[in-house]
Parts: sequence; C-alpha cells; structure tokens
Amino acid sequence: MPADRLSATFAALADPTRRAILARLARGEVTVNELAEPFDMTLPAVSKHLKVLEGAGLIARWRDAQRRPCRIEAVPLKDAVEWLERYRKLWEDRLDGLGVYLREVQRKEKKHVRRKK
Amino acid sequence: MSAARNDLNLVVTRVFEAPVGLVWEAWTRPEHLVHWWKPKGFHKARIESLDVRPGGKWRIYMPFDTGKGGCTAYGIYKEVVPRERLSWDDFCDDEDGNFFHKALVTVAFEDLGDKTRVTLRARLDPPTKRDAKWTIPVMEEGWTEGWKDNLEELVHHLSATHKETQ
Repeated sequence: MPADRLSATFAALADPTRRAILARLARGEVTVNELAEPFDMTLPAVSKHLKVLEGAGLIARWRDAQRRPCRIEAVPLKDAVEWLERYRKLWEDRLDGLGVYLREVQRKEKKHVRRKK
Repeated sequence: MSAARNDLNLVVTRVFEAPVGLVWEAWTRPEHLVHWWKPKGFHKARIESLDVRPGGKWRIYMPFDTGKGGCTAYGIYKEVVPRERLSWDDFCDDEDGNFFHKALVTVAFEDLGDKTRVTLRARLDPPTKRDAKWTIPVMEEGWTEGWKDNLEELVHHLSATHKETQ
C-alpha cells in the first residue's frame, strides 16, 4: 500500500465532523442533503468535507437522476485500522513476552531459594 | 492541519503477577529486557544501548525472523521515575531508512502488592507526506479477520483512537 494514501487517509480522519460523516455513511448510503441535516451544516460546508473524504478515497459519490448519493469505501479504512493495530500488536506481543518472562524469573528465584535452604 | 490534533492514541493495560520492583527492572535493565522484547515476526533483539535517565538514549536492533534484515527501535528517555513512570520516544526504521512508526510511549507502573498494573499509552504520529519513506510492514494475513468487515466497527475504532487526544 502506498504510504501516501495512508497519510491522506489519516489527514482526512483528523477532523471530527468528517469522522461523524463517515460514521453515518457506515450505516448505509445517503444523499448529500440527508447528510447535511443532522450536522446542522450548510450544503457547501458538507460538500467541502465530502471533497476531502473523496480525495482520500474514503467515500465515493455519483449522480442518480436528481439525487447525489454517497457511499463509504472500505479499503482505505481497513488499511488505516490495520496500520494502527499493527503498532498495538507490537506492544501486546511484547507484554505477553514480559508476562512469560516474569513468571520464569520468579520460578527460578524460588528454586534457588529452596536449594539454599 | 496541526500535527498535535492528528495524533492517534493507544492504551494497553496489563496486570502482572510480580512485584513492582521486578517489573521496573524488567523494563530498565538490558539483561532482563533482552528476554522479552520480542514481538512476533522478530528474532531475539540486540540491545545496543539502554541509558535509562531523562535525556538518555536507547537503541535496540530487532532482526526479522525471515533471516533477512531487521529494524532498529530507538529514542530518548523523557521521564524516569523509578517504579512509577517511564516515558520515551519510540522510533523504528530499517537499514534503508524506511520508517515503521514514530510515537511517544508512557508506561505507568502501579504497585498492587504482589502484583503490578502496567498501563502503556502511546501517542502515535500518523504517517505524513513529509516523511517520504513510510512503509507498512506486512502482517500475517487474516489477523484482523472477524471484525474488519464491519464498517461501523472500523469507523468507531478510528474515532475512539482520535477522541482520546481531544
């Protein structure tokens, strides 16, 4: 995956309104008008956010007669989550390792003490 | 876009069946650290430096378990409060200068008698276009299967990661 796309995804996700728009779109396809309603925003303001999301490949828009529906695009979203989760997993693995190591060290210590007695 | 606003936050908490003194040593002494600093996909690490004091450097080479190459994790310690708190820059790159991640990590140790609670917080820098050579190492396939096809879950997950910053 090109790192450029990942940076565009995260830049688009940095804005809370855009995340809220995505959260709405995750529940299903809607038109721009329907999107604007709950956000108490003007159509041009919503369009601006949609443009950023579209540029990052996070949504797709098309024309359907008089309607302008938009839809969320899953792939860049998955990539962003995977990138994050990869880092989390690095730590989860290390902490798993630490747990095993701490048990081992204490077991050895106990044995050592017993032998001394 | 301000960089600070775009930080991503991860929190991992564990309780270990060991006294806080031993857990602290495990994080701060190379002879301990080398035994457990080994995520999946890597061979045993080589600790090049571990100067645990504010401003001290740390540097650990982690060979890939494919036998070809590896990456270096490094940074500078910020806060060092024995048995309580440890924080450091966490950078990781490979021989070719590819970045894997940049983060600020803080680990809090909580004395629970014969147990210790460890809370690790990482503020992760999302990749930016400025950092030209970001790479996304390949993970084992299918490790996020089961929930990654749920769009609502994905958006919620990303939002939660952002929210903690604000």
